Amino acid sequence: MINKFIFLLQESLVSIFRTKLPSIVASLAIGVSLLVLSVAYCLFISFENLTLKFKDRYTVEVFFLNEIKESDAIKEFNKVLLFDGIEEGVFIDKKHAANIFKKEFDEDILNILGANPLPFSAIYTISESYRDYLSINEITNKIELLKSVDIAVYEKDAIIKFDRLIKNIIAFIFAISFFIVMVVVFFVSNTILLVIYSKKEDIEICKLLGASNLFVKIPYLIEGMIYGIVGAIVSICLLYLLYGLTDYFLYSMIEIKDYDLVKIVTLNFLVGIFLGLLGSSKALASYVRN
Amino acid sequence: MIEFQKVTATYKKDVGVFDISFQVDSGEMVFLMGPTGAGKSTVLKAIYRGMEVNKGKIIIDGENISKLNRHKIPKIRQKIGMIFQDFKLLNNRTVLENVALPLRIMGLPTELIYNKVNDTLSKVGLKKLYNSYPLELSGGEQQRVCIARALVKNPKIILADEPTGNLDPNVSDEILDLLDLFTESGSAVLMSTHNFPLIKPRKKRFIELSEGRIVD
Repeated sequence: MINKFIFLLQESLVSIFRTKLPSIVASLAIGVSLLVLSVAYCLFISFENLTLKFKDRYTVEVFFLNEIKESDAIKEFNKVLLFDGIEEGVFIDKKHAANIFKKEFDEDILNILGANPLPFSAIYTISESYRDYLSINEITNKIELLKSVDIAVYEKDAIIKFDRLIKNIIAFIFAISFFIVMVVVFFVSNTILLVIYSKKEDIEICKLLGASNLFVKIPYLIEGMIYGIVGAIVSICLLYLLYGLTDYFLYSMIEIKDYDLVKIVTLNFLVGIFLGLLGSSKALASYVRN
Repeated sequence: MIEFQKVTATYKKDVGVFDISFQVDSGEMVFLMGPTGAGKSTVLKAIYRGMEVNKGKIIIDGENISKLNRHKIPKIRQKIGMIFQDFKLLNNRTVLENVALPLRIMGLPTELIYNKVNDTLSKVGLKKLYNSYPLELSGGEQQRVCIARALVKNPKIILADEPTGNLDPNVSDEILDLLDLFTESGSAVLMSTHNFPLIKPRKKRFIELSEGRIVD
């Protein structure tokens, strides 16, 4: 078995060496596509970090009825803290509310009205997994059902728009990635198909000598994998250059942690091998079909 | 070693071989005779399962191979040595690599392969040409490479499809001598030819075919 595998590996390498130009072109095609996918992935990560920062501001503001006592308001405040989706909350008593008013309007409400009519209120931060329009809406409705709550508000329009924007950008990245994968698989499969057709007679001879279908197919599958590995190396080198450039010009706009770099390198190899294998499998399938 | 029992194998409705029965024993060399289109190659193809068998039984080394699963066909072919009129050599491989190919397919260790290939190349008189490419060789030498490739795995059965068709009479005789030599080690040789004058002096059994049927 090992002898066979070593022989087939040698066959793949010889085949790549004999068909240099198609092999280089196929590897480059995979490399460039992996580069585009990696850049899309980096943008996705940066975008995700950016959205997380923005979503930290997803809060629900609750105003209690004016006539309730502070102790009842605190009780209700604590009740809401136990709701699913509430991460933390800040209780705002009348004094605190007056301070906020002063800060925002530069006026003391006691001087204007002679009394403090501001209600007890609270600001709740939403847990990370609930930071979308539907979940926040549900939480808000649930809070408003409480007897001592006058109103619960959040930035509905902004959240809806932001959610939609995120969905559109993710869909766009996925569509582009899918398109690139399809183009590359088509390209690699056609390259390998050309190689297979150029060796049609050799394949027939091998089959007459007792080679199984798998024996005939394996060198082409290995060939596809090698295209993928070479493509991944090309992509990683180009990414390294690009990363240096963006780091120089854009500083911290693209934030990629060390963990993500390992992930990107691993993904490049895995996706590269997958693309190569898919291309060669498709080529073999169409060769068998014809 | 090879047994045909009322075998019918057809390409189309009326093209192929029909209701054929014969037997080739170990160490025997039998010729399949007949004009072009008589069905000689079809008989050989049916043995190495290059085509479907419609009716009857083909028994090879005690195993009925007429209704064999597709995935078992390579195993049968590994047991058979095949020689072709057009040699079917890989032109971008050396003589040594061509002869080693069946053993590579069988997954033998490299050292054993080289020993066997060297041994076989000596037997067919091609040891000095081991590093040459097929297109650098004469027709007779190429056919010797083809024979070496068939014999390197010590097959019990050797099928030769018009192996002398492209060769001049002297070289053809040498090729037949070589094949005859290997029957001594117990291999059964079934060879198709339309060249009766070539086989006549050898006083071997022959099966005559015409329009896909055996001529009595």
